[in-house]
Amino acid sequence: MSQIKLQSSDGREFTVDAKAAKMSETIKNMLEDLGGDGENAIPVPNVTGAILEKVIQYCLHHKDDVAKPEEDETKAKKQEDIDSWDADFCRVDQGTLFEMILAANYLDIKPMLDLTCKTVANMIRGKTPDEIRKLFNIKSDFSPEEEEQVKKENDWCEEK
Amino acid sequence: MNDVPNEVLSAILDFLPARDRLQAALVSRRWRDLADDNRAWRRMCMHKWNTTEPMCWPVFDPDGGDPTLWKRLYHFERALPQPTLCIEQPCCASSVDDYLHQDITNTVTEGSASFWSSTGSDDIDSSEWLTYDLFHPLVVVRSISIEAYKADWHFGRPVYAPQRVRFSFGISRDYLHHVTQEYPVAPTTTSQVFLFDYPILANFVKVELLGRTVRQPSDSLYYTAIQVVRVGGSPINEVTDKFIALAFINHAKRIANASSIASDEIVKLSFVQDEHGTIYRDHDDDTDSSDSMAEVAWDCDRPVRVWPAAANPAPTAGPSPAQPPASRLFQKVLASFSPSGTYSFLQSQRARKHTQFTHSVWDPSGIFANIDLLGLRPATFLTVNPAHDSDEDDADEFDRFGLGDSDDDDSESYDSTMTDAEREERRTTRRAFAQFTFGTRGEEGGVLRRMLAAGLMNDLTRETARSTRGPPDPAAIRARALANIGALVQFLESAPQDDLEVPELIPPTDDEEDGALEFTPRSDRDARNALSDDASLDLTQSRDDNSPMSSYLPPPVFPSLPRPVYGSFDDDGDDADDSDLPSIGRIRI
Repeated sequence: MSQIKLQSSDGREFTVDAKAAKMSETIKNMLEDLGGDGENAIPVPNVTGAILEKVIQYCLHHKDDVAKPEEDETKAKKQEDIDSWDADFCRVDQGTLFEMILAANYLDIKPMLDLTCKTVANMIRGKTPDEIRKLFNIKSDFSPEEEEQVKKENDWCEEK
Repeated sequence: MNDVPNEVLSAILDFLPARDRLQAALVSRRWRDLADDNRAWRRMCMHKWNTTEPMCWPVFDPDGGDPTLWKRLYHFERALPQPTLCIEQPCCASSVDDYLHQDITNTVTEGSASFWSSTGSDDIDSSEWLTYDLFHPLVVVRSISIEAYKADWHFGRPVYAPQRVRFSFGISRDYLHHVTQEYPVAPTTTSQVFLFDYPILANFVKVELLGRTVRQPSDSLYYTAIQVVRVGGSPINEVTDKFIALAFINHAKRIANASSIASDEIVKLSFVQDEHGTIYRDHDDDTDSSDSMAEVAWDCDRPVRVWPAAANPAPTAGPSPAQPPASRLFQKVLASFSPSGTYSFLQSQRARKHTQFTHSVWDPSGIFANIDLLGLRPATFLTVNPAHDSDEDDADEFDRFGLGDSDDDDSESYDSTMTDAEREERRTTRRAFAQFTFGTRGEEGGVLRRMLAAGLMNDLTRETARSTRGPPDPAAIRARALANIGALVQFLESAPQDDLEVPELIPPTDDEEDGALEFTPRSDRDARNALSDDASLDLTQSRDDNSPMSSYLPPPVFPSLPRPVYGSFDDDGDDADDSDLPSIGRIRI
């Protein structure tokens, strides 16, 4: 079984290399549970065709990557450089990027989730809270007192 | 973005450096809650400190206590003042000294050419160690620097540096809770500083000098020689963030629990600190920061370190200096009161020929937080400044304490240890604290041991009396803290073997406002007689309600005093007296 079929929430079917598809822990588990025969498409209900296409693109490109050892829980995640293919891959509008994050999260594709989260983190870096709110269209729900409190608590961020 | 589940947003935040994480916390409540996650900050701390050292930090419980603890700890150094030199003199020991004049005390003498030297060895890989006590029960150590010794008069002017160095830290001498990696040492005389990114709590430091590098030309043996060792850090009471201070203390508590220190040797202390930096007892034993009394409140289980006593395992770190008789005196004095109290480390200061540190005590029920400092450290001199009310000259104070026999040196040295400001404050304020100054001094005579005892006891009596007036009012305490100080009793501890007479105290009269500090020296015999006649002098025993002291002495508030901790207090081998806590009248020096 080298090819499997995936069906997106909007009914599109994709035929994917099994190894690539198994980068998703979710799909891998489903395949094991279903004992998939390659005939029936596996439904991916939470992901639209457009996003699933991106996911598959990612998986095909990275299917031969050597799995990274699990990161030590006590280690902070590092902001490694993103290679150019990955950077290009993430060059999408914000809505798509978040859908990709959600898909990566749902499908449990750790490296893709890391990549997309890293991309968002890079968007946040160096920005003021106001800029972040604007960027993601978030409304502050702080009361003035609360905000003051947080500012006071975090005042040392100015230093570094 | 608003559709992104928390776990994903957390994952995003995990990729942010500390600064951006703090900014992100200002975006909205949800962002704040996720950005402030204690576990995430703990991860960041571990990463920043590059440690997973099990004995070092897991004890900061990521789930319990202050939910912003790890965020604070991430920049714990912000809560520390400029590090000061923390080695207490002369409490140190070494694995070996080559000559008497090349002993370890040379390594704490700044600006001198003296040095410590190992003995010679054929083995280039043989190691030595040096150990140091720190001047405060809990110091946050930030750095250690060493300078190797260069023998200019030896052929080739060799630098007798070790190959490597390694540091161990303990809250007490018998349990080293943290060992650092080995650091290479360069063969140079410049100061080599080893900085620690993470907070190390210690009262005791062991410096291991691993390997040797140079043979001495004259005997072709390998030597290690060190000119200076410095430990830089901040005492816990100078930590400005109370949550960090609390975390450090809790950490120390757990280290103490993990050590061989028996639980009954851990004296529970509860501190409150007012904005003047004075720490006093919190009567509620409440760590709640909402405590109206306190700017800073915390609990502390601090081990009482027992100077080599039969009950205590020998320190692994090496031989301890013999305990001077006067230290036992303090044990006696202190053991006769409650093992709880107040402790403040007002300042450390460098005087002309010696290093000294001043401790101030406001202690409604005892002076016991100072047990380590008083009884268990062989300080070579100690000064007690029970406060007085008048403008009396210092010399008069000596007379008043029956110190007419103190020689002129004492007065001089007294002057040299005080600034004008201190003296002025002393004149204008009232007794509230006993102030102790510790330090080293050369061979000056130890004359005033009895005065110390007297001053201490008088002070204790006075403060004990105060404590009966109910929980202290913070404003009053503050005022009292400011109003601290008075006469000086100077104590030079030169450990003579003779058995000095202890003066008996006359307790303060009921008119405390005018109750100048007084006591009448008595012979020891008189004191004993007085004791047998007047049980009220014995604070640890039940008192006759008709006795004059019962009107202002508190009820015995320290029934749980772990008495055996202090071992035998009697110098004269009178075992019968050891069975009870010593009473004032019976204390002898």
